[in-house]
Amino acid sequence: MSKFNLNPKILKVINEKAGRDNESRKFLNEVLFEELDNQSQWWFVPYYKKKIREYSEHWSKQYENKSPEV
Amino acid sequence: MRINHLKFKNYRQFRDIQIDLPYRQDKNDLHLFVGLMGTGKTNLLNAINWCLYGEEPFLSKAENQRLPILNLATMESADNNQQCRVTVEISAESKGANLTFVRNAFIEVCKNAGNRTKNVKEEFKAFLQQEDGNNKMTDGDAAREIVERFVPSGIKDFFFFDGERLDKYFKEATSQNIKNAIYQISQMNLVNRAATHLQKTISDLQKEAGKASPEIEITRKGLEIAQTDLQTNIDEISQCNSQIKLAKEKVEEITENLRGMPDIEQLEKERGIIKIDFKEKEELYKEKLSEKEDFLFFSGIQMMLWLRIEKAASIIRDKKNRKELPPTIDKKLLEKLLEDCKCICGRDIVTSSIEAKAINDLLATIELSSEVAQELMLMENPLELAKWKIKSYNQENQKLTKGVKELEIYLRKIEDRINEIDRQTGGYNISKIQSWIRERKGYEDALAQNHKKSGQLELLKTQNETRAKELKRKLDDELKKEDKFRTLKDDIVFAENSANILEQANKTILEAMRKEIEDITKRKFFELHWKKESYKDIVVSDDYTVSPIHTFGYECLGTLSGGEREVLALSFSIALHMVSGFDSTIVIDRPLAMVSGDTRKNVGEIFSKISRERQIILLLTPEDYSGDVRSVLEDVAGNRFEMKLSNRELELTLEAR
Repeated sequence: MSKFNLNPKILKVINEKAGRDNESRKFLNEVLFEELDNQSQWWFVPYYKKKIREYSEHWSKQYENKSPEV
Repeated sequence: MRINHLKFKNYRQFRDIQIDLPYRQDKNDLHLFVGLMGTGKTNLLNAINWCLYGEEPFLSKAENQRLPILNLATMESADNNQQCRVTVEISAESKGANLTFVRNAFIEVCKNAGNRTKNVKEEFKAFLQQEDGNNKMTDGDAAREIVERFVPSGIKDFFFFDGERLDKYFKEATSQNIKNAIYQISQMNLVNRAATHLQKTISDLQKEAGKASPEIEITRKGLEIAQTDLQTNIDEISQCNSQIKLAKEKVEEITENLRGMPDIEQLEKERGIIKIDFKEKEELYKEKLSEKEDFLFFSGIQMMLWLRIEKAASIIRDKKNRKELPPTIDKKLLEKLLEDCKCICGRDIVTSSIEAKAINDLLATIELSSEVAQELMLMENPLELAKWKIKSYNQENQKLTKGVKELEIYLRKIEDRINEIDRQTGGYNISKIQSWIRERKGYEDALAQNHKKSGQLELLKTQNETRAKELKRKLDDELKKEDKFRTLKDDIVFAENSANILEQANKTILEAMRKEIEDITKRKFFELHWKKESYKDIVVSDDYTVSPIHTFGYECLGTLSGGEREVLALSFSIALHMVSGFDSTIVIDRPLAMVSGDTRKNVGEIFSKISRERQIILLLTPEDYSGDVRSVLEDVAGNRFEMKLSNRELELTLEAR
């Protein structure tokens, strides 16, 4: 968890918009805290790829045969 | 961020000052510094800014140029070439974490060069308490980054500000600054950054797929181009809209400046036209006058000759009556016939013949020679004309006089109108007004051009959107075709889904923030304002332009008085603080400088109210802190310090009250 504060409204709205899509919610929370802690990092693409892989696997299984915009 | 402790060493009037600002359970988190002008109130605000951002924004130009940052008493007591340290230290806490910011400037005093100072070096350090209780020291960019997390420099003006300059608040803090501030306050820049990173990652994942399949690569490249074109359109539209907004603001500002002023352009145009008309009519007047003078001159002559004219005319009339005029027989011819004794048919005329007698008789009846008769005939018409002129003198004189008078009246009217225009434009700086009008015309033209351009760009944007959508669908289909892209496809779809959530969240948060800022600004404005009935609404637009709406329905920011503008700015600032995720201390220098009457008490009550939830530091003069304001704030303030100068007014002393 970040040592800095993330505007709780952002987290709240993301949670609302993600609905029951826990994977996307968790992914977005995690990347936002990372953005908060490490601004202007050059390595964000590999980091995002890694995180996307981490969450998309479970997400795909969960939403297989369903529309991705759950 | 709450400030617990301030420490100053050799900073301007603050030679050696430490200020504790403890939070007291029984009081509000309100801290008052009361001092006469020149005791260092504004420099306390400058010191906080200098410590955190390395700048002193509220220093007057003269002060900045004249006085060094080093305390003057310290400078006087320093040896030649001695290096003195100027320090401002802020100890604060935020959500349980302790922070300390220290800025040092090392100043060398050159006694031999008339007490000149030389800035040797400056350093900035931040100490952040770790979870294990130890302090981690950072300096340079890392230290500045910590400051940015607690009070970002882009929004510091909404936390540390000068009440005396609040009337210029909406002029200086343009809506773009406010919008940027909102982004920082709400951390939406973080969301935008995450969205950009996510988009770049999606693009990278698509590139990976392209490397494995030439068909996918062709589609991907096409999509990339379409997306770049689309982004270019969006950027250009945004630029265009900024230009439109700027032009609109300028047109409104200039119109506001010109409100109540005469329509100089129209009046000057009218003056130009009527001056030409005046010249033409003046020429005509001179001609008419000259015509009348000529008429009078010649009429005078004719009148003096009236008797002779009448007599001459009468002679001619008589002669005509007697058939002498016009002459029917040529007298000279008859005389010649007698002299030559030859008739006109060639026959001889014998003297004393009947023919000669007849000719002599005829000659006796002819009194006038042909020349005289001719002369008389030529004179007849001019004489009759002269007679007619004399007879019609009155009529002609009246006609000419009327013409001259009419022109005189017309010229007088033009002169009156020119005087009226002079009166209307008198006291105004006409060239300034004309330059405003020209400027406004320029912005109006720019507005029209940008509206046209914006429409064309919107059309292009729609076309590129359609192209990008089609290519995206094609790329998705191609990824689905082959099983080896399954993982990649899953990653892309997941990332796109997350990007979509982020975009929706972005829109929702921004709209919610705008609405919340609008609601709070409105509520606070009506709480504070002493003429509530004059206004019916406060509107904060999507681009954070703040517009008070008059009861009669028109936007009236330009007509607010200095005090009213301050109330609006204060309401807007409070709204920004209340919706921000940042809990920074608010420091205001002379918050009541432009407020009078009942509003002072209202403003005091607002500060009392806000300080129940966040730390507020107010820098006041004894006049500011008097009467109603004092009665509202005295009991709730956690600390009150009296600021005084000592040591030949070179050093500040603080007394806690």
